[in-house]
Amino acid sequence: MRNPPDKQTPLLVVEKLKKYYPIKKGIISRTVGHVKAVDGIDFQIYPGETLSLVGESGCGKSTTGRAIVQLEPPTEGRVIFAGRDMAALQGAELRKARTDLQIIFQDPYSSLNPRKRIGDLLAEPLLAHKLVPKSEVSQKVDEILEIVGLTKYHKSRYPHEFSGGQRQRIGIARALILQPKLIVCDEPVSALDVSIQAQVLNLLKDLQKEFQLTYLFIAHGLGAVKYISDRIAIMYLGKIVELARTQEIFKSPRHPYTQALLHAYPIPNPHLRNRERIVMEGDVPNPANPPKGCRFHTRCPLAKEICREQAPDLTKTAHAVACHFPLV
Amino acid sequence: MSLANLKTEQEPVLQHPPDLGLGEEESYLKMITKRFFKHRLAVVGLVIFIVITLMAILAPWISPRDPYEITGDFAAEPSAEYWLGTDQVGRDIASRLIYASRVSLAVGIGAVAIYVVIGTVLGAIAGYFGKWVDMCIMRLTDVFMSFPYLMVILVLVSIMGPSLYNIIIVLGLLGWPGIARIVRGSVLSIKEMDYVKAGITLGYSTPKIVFQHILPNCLAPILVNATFGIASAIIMEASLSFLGMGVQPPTASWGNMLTEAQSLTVLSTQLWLWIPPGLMILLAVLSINFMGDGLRDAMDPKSLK
Amino acid sequence: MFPYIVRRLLIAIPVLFGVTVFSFFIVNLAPGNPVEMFISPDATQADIELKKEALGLNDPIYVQYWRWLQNLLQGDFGYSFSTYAPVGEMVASRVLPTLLLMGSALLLAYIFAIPIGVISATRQYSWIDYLTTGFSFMGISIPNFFLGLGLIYLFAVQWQILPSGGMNTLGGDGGFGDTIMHLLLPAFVLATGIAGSMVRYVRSSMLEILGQDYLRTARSKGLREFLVVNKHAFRNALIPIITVVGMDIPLLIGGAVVTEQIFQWPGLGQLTIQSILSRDYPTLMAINFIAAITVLLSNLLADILYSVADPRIKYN
Repeated sequence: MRNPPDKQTPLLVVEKLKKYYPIKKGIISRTVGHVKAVDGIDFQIYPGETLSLVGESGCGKSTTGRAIVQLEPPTEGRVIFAGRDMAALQGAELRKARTDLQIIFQDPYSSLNPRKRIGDLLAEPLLAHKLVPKSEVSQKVDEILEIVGLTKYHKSRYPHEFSGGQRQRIGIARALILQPKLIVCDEPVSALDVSIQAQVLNLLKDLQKEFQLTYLFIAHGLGAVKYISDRIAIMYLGKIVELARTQEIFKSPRHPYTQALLHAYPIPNPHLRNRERIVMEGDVPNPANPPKGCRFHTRCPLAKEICREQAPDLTKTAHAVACHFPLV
Repeated sequence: MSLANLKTEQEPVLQHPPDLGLGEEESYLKMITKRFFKHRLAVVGLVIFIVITLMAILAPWISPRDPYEITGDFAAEPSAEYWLGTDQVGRDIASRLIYASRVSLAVGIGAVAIYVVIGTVLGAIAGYFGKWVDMCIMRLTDVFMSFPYLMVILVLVSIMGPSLYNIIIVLGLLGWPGIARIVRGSVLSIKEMDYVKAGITLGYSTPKIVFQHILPNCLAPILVNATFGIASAIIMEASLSFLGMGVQPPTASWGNMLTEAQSLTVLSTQLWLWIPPGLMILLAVLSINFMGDGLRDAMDPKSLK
Repeated sequence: MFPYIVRRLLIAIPVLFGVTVFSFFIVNLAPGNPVEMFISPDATQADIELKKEALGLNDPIYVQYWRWLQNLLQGDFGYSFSTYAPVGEMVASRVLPTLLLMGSALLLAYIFAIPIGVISATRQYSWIDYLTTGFSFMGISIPNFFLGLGLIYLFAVQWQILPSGGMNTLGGDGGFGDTIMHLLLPAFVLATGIAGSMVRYVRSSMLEILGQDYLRTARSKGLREFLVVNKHAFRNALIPIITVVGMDIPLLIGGAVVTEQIFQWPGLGQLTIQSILSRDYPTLMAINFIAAITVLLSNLLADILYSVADPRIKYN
């Protein structure tokens, strides 16, 4: 784990990001409301580090990831990558800027074009951006395959001939081949068998070291991210509720939700099982109609009057938390 | 870049890719072809179709006479000299039958080629860009599809004058809505797939994504629809010519060879005039329908074992 | 569901408008005007011009269209250019025979096709299955007119058990039975095309459902096979079948044109051909319009039936 390089300029800055999806009803499909998938979040990612975005299904983490790689335009807010406001880029300029900002998808079964051989699939980005002379493309493809743990003999095969884990490696290779600065990893191991998950995570970690990559790692559980993250941001219902270094999150979580997430994990050691647990009540509220005040108050066992009325802001400290009564 | 430390922690990677029981590399094309040939009817259809195509191509060489030439007696019965007899005007039916295959194939393939191109482009645009563009194109499709096909064709062909080229053009200009809908549907669902999103994030241009990534995955339904479309076009041309609004004599078309049979005399006494061309139409259409059925089953993702 | 119906109807209006515009302009592209079709040889040019003026043929095209549309909305289809009879009357007298023909063809087709399709699916790969497959392919591949001619030859000429054309026997007393005899062959010809594709459709739809798990549950509960097939499986197979019904209607209309011509059936199809030959624009327009409305309505009906039959579908 390295120190947060607070003297460095951040590689990615997300400012007041909001993404709303309209709900349409009626004869003329008028908009009756919005699903507030992402409702105002801010964070920065520094070069070389891994920031993880963790939360339950529907909390907005995947939406955030997609907004960052410009797959969906934000409803409000800005995404500033390497000093440039991504929304200001269009057309050919945007396409060129994309080479530095890549994404690895969650589902290995739909992220590869079933009609293309692996070799062509990997060569395509190089040819499209003319980064490398044609004569060297084949060699580069061989290299990248070796780097992710496959061989050049796999070049002439089709995606359906590979296992899930191998397909994710191909997806990683594809993201890497353009030598990006930042890679958004959208739950890259969630769809894999547990034994394979560890291998792919290891690969990602090694690649980061080797190529000085920066990751935004999206996951739905704290277990996967402990090993790979420098800092972790916990999301709930479209907002960030806690953001701190990995050690701090695990040693001294300050938001009740974070603690509940941690306590939801079964502990193998029977002697440690008698600690006090924070248990959440109720179900996740509807993102189209989030609770007033602090969003978590409907499920928080520590909720008081003020929590129902006023939404707490995320503090600006190194260990940031959005709670009126943060745990210490 | 040292790879040594990477390799120790990985899955045991064989030097040769794992044998998945597929034998040699299976491209999509090979798989489809194999499955197509398992279909007996489809193969029969293919053989018949090839024979008819050869007949059309080699017509000048295999036809006993010139189809326009008035040689024998009027409506002579089949004999050793005129294998299928002669028609009302005295032309050799066998020769006309052979040459007429050219007409049918030209209409079938020509019209379908035209409307597949139009339909695919419009359907892809509608599916990919959505919103207003989609709305407009779909409304246009609705308008075209509201018209009873045959009626519009009759009107148009009678206006433009009945001829082979006009039929091909009219059928081509009217047949695209079906394909457009299919392509639009395919594009809509494929557009959401991660590998298309990957194309966007990798910085590919829109035309590249549409034509190189999305459309090739739509091919199956287009091909099936086009095959049945050829059969349909052949029947359409035959019907038009039968009614006198299609290919006009003296050019031979299986359809117009049947026109005379509307008279009860011809129908009952001169069987050789109308049964052979009718059977030819049946054979051609049947073979294409068999092929289309085989294609559809071969490409059906649900029956992938 | 109600907002869906309203929305569909609203969408149908511009489509209908488009249909009328298309019809009108296409028909008017025709070279030659209707006057030339029925003038006597010694009419002078002045006579022709007078006639054209009287029929309103010299006005600009959008004026003619507007005039036609206005009349239409008041229920007036204008007057035939060739017979001078009101188009409305001409068309009305032909609608019933065509409806009779189309209706019987549909009925005939479904009565045979649906059970055969179901049986074929339940006895897959048996000789019944192969036989029905063969017949269904024949049904969709054989051209209407060839089949019609063939049947006339067999039944009317050779065996003389059915009349060869028309709707009633000339000089006869008419009557229901007589009409049925005349109806048999043309309806059968029309029905084969529909039945052919319907059998395949029912068969594949049933096959798909028969393989589903919830039927295994029904069987393991001890339900009799007959009930399993007809009550549970069939109802779900019904859903895609309903949409196909909507698509058959336009095919019937087209098929009717050729069939009516062969069998001299006095319906709209025959009228269409006569109108084309005599360049009778108003009649053509009216027939096109009616046909298009029929198609639109049948599609709407199919969509509505679909949403009723499948509770999974919610239109909002």
